[in-house]
Amino acid sequence: MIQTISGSSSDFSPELENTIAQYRHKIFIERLGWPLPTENGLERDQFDRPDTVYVIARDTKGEICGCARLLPTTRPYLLGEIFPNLLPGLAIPCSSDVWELSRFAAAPINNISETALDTAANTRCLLAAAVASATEHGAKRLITVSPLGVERLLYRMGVHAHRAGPPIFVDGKPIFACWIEIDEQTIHALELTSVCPPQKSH
Amino acid sequence: MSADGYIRLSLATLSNLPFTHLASEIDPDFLVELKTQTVAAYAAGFSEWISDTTPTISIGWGWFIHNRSRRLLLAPEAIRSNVMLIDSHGYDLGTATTSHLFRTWLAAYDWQRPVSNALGTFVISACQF
Repeated sequence: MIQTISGSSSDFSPELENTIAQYRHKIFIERLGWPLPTENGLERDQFDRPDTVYVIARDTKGEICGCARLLPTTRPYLLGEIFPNLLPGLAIPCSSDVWELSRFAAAPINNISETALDTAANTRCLLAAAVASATEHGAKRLITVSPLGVERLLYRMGVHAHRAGPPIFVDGKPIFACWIEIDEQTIHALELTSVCPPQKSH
Repeated sequence: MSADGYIRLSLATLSNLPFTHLASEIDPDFLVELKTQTVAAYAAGFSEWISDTTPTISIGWGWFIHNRSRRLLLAPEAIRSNVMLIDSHGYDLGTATTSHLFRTWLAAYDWQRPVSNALGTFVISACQF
């Protein structure tokens, strides 16, 4: 069973912030091959600011096994700055009740014995924690830039998700902008009133 | 387009719109998922289409080639889009019904030929439609 914590980077210790950047490097650059800037085995970008909100999942040994990043759309964010072409002819969301979810991963670095059921459960738990954290910051909807396969995953979870526009191919892989509505359907699908609400970071 | 990002229209209206095949690809991970569900799939992947309208309707679905019949079929999963279909009174039909009605539309739509052409000889030699 994973435990989740949430907070902004200004709430985290430098050691924890470094561990998050190392985890992101392992997952997004080494495992998934995303062409992201990297420095000394750490993955960070211009959207990792003091006010950025993170949700971290840790396993029973305290190892990070998941992460998610939340950004308000009233300040620079990934979709608006880097991928506005995912919303052709449409206004880029800019609202206090719309937050962007990015750098989402629910995968352990070292536990090769994790089953598909574990992965599915942990993914649901982390997404629930991210939605709960976003809600605490006033979000009513999330927007994400994701690989196309994520859409299938969200539909299967029963989350109210719908694409914001057509996918485009980046480095040969399709990505798209996706809305996640924080409504009764999503809350029910993620069992948000129970299981694993995120703890505040200390 | 509505404020929530959905394009709202009826199935009848959608059925009269021109759509362009955007891309279709083989997805080995999706094939593994289908086989885990004991679907008799020989190959599987996704297909993406867009409307020739403004705003642009985007629809995507999974496909698979049936093991025995070698037919190119819709995968057993939701059809995904930026559309909310509405009934004759203008009320939302909901995400589930929208997906179901898309399957009805696709049953009469010649999507298999462009998908086969896009995927190349591997699929053409393997499937019928």
